[in-house]
Amino acid sequence: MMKEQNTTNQAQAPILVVDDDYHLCQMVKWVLEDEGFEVQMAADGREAVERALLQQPKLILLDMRLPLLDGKGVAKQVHAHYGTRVPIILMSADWHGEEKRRQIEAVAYVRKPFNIDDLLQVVQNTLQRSA
Amino acid sequence: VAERAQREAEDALQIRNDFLSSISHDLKTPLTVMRGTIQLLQRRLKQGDMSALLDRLKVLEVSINKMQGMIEDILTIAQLKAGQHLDLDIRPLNLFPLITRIVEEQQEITHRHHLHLSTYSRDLPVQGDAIRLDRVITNLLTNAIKYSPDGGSITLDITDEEESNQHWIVMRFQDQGIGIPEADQPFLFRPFYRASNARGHIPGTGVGLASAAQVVREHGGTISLSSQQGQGSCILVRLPVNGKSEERGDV
Repeated sequence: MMKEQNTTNQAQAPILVVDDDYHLCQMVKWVLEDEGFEVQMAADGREAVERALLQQPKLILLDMRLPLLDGKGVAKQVHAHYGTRVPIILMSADWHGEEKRRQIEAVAYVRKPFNIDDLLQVVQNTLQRSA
Repeated sequence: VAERAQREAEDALQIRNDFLSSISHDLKTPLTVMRGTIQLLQRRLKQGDMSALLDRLKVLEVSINKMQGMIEDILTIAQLKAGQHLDLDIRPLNLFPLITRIVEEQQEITHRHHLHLSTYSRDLPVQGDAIRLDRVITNLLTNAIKYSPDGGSITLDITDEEESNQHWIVMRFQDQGIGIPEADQPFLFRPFYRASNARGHIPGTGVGLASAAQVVREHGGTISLSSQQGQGSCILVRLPVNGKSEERGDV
């Protein structure tokens, strides 16, 4: 079952992970790659938008506090370009996650520090809903 | 006068709120990496998959160091605010291996910046607290990276000089980043203070540079900056080779 899932996932667009902390991106990349996803990373808001427009991601995991362009700005540009075709999941460290999620029109949020099982659950749910 | 007092109180509240929101974000980030990496390692071990464990352990260690560094910075600031001297563990120490390791670590996590190290010698002896000085150099380099979001070259240039019968090691941290507006420069070594062109644009707590300055001063050294907005910044740190000279006192 694992194998089938891997091949289908790999054939599709990448998941874009956006956080200014390199090691957080790296950790999330490992989590997703273990499930067979292809993953791209971006360290700031501008790089995130550039990558997202260059190749349509199937999903974006997005931090709010970013250099050059914050999460809000990234979400705005991604929505302007793709509408709701590219779902955004917010990775939030503060207590107003739900409020922030609504603000940027993200489909879901995970609160840092999250468990990787919870992260995967949210990712899988989001992909199933948008499929 | 009342108006001014109120404005100052409002500023202080704003600074406190910004700090709390930044620090909770900054502390939770390495915590997230630690938790996630441990869970990844547990999965691997349960599946009997021994591949790539060292990579993951390395990231775990880096995150622990990062969190420890932030906690040290906060405690340094707390001691500064309380008017106390730092407990320094002063020993003879060569800065060169410490500096090369930090430069390599920082280069690993950025592809937009090119870090250059130039030094007059591979023997950089000081009387210092290795952990605190490690933190100073790490903070100044991460700042150089952080405040040049468009990338560019970052140079750490190390020279020596003789002044007031002292032998000094001089470190210049030069970046090509956003620079510091002149109006902000006199306040930049204050705890929680953030330059107006960084506030709201580049995440940060205003703790790193202030604690670095405190550690340098407690080593009998000096720290200063020169910068033009939009033209990068240069932070200059001077450390006495023979350690703090008590009889000369603080000037």
